[in-house]
Amino acid sequence: MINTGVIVTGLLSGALYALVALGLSLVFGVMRLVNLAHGELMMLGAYVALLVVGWTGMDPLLSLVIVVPVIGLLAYPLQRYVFTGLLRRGQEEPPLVAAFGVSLALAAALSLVFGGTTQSLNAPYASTGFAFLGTTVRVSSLITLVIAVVLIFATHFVIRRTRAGSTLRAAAADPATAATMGINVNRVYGLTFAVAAAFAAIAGVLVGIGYSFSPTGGTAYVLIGFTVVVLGGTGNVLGTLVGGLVIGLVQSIGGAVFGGEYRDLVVYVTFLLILTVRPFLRPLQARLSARRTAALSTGSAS
Amino acid sequence: MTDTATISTLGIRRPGNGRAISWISLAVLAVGVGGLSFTFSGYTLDLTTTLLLYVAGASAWNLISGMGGQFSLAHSVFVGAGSYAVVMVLRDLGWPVLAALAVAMVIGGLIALVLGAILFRLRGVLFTIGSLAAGMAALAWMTTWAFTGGTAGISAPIRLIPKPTELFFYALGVAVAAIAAAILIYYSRFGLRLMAVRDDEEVADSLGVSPFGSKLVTMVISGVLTALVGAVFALQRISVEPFSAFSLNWTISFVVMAIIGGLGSVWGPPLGAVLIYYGLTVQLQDLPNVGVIISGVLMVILIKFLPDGIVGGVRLLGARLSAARGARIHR
Repeated sequence: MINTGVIVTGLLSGALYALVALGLSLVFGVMRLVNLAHGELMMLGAYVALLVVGWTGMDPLLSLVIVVPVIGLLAYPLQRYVFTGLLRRGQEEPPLVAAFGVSLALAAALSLVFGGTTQSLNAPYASTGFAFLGTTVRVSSLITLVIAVVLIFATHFVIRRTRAGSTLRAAAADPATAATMGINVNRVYGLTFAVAAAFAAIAGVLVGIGYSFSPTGGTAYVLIGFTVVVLGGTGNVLGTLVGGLVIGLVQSIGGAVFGGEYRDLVVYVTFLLILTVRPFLRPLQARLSARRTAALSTGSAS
Repeated sequence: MTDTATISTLGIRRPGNGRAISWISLAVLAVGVGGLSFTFSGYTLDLTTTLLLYVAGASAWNLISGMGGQFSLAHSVFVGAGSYAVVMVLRDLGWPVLAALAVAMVIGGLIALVLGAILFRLRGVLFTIGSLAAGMAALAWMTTWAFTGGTAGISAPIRLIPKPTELFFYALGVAVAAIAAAILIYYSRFGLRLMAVRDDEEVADSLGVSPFGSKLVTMVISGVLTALVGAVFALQRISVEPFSAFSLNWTISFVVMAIIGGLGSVWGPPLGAVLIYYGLTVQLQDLPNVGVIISGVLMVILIKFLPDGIVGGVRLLGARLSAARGARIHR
């Protein structure tokens, strides 16, 4: 039942989940916003790519050159003029409600414009694959893996090692103090959201190439994304990679043990389990991140 | 004595005769709608039955999410469980409808107890995400469970289904029960404790209010009422299948209605249900997506400019007007 093939498949889909979680984790880590509309932003990215591919006939992956800026430009004002003001009120519910409203409106707008049917982005490498450790690895999954790993490490590097990253960390840790230090917190928030939305769009396009998408398809991804965020530690960028791979494995092994129709159920139940044991998990995550921070600070000192 | 008195002297949320006005309004509305129903055509009767069920669902959701501050996305589970319970009792046991509804209530309450015991370990947004996971897990589970007919679902024997007029009064009963529960909680000592937990969990806890207990009791009440909503919906539709009974759209509708009407108030959710269902869903029947877009945008606009919904806005307007009048008199 559980062979290397199952594990390889799980790790590959886990990379996609990590990429989905990356944007969620960024937005939650910096401004404590639970972006329920993240899944719809993914789907929006896929639909914009569909349009671009239809108009220009370019390769879906190449269409990201257009899709990413478009989604980023749409997302910035959403954060700047809708979410930021609500977050500043200091209550949890208003931003959540607003994100929920955006998610609803976006999904409905997508089905109004494109219809409710599932679609996919055609690429020559979408279905081709090669045999590897007892399973067929699709080229599209491999591309997803590479993009996810590169983006996660790049994000980690930018946050930890660059000036923009320290601005971001300052705004996240204490917005009021950061503002007195001359940091434009509203712009940091807006840019963070735009980058997270761009990550969502990339994930959406990859879903569109490897699988299929529909206006309401985002909900399942957003929930898996949150599972990864909670498992990897909220706001922990490298944690999303680990969390994503673990969830991918859980889903793949669960599907192999209980049958394919239980794949998603296994993930949701795992999530509920993680949430219930989370108080016991937290010391472990803290210890891991403490060790990493220690390693990092010695690294930057030298 | 203690908590009610303290809070009322502080001047927080103790509208003098709000309780009496609410009970009288509820009685007048119930008798009015019940009496009018005899003049309804078949179509209007069916429409009003559905509307009343949305009124009940939005009110029940508001108990835990508005008054309790626990933004739940798991309420589709209660709708679905109530739907399946009533149809299965009618089909397999052949019990009378009222007994089947009672079973639906018990199952709704039990599920609320289990979900609450798990999910109330989580605070704030984590509770919301956990409840979404519960909703999705229930849907995924129901599509695979052979006992409930898998994706095909099940249907109740037609001869056991109540007539539309009878069904209307069940729906009216559920709506009245849900609003009555809202009035009871809102104006009770228990409700004050619950709202204290919502407004500041640490302070409430330190004053001896059990956050977990208040939330759990409210969740059970909310679950029982929502399961009833699902049960009457199932009777109206005769057959149930997972994708409609456990659809997240139930929760979404309740959320939208309660927020647009006024989160945490007694009359906001019923008002929101009437406005959204009658004003948007029915009017835009052929353009369902446009209706959803409008309600999504409305939610964002309201939470930004009128966080307490329409009821909160009216209250604000009233306060402004009386303040203006007072100023004029003093001058």
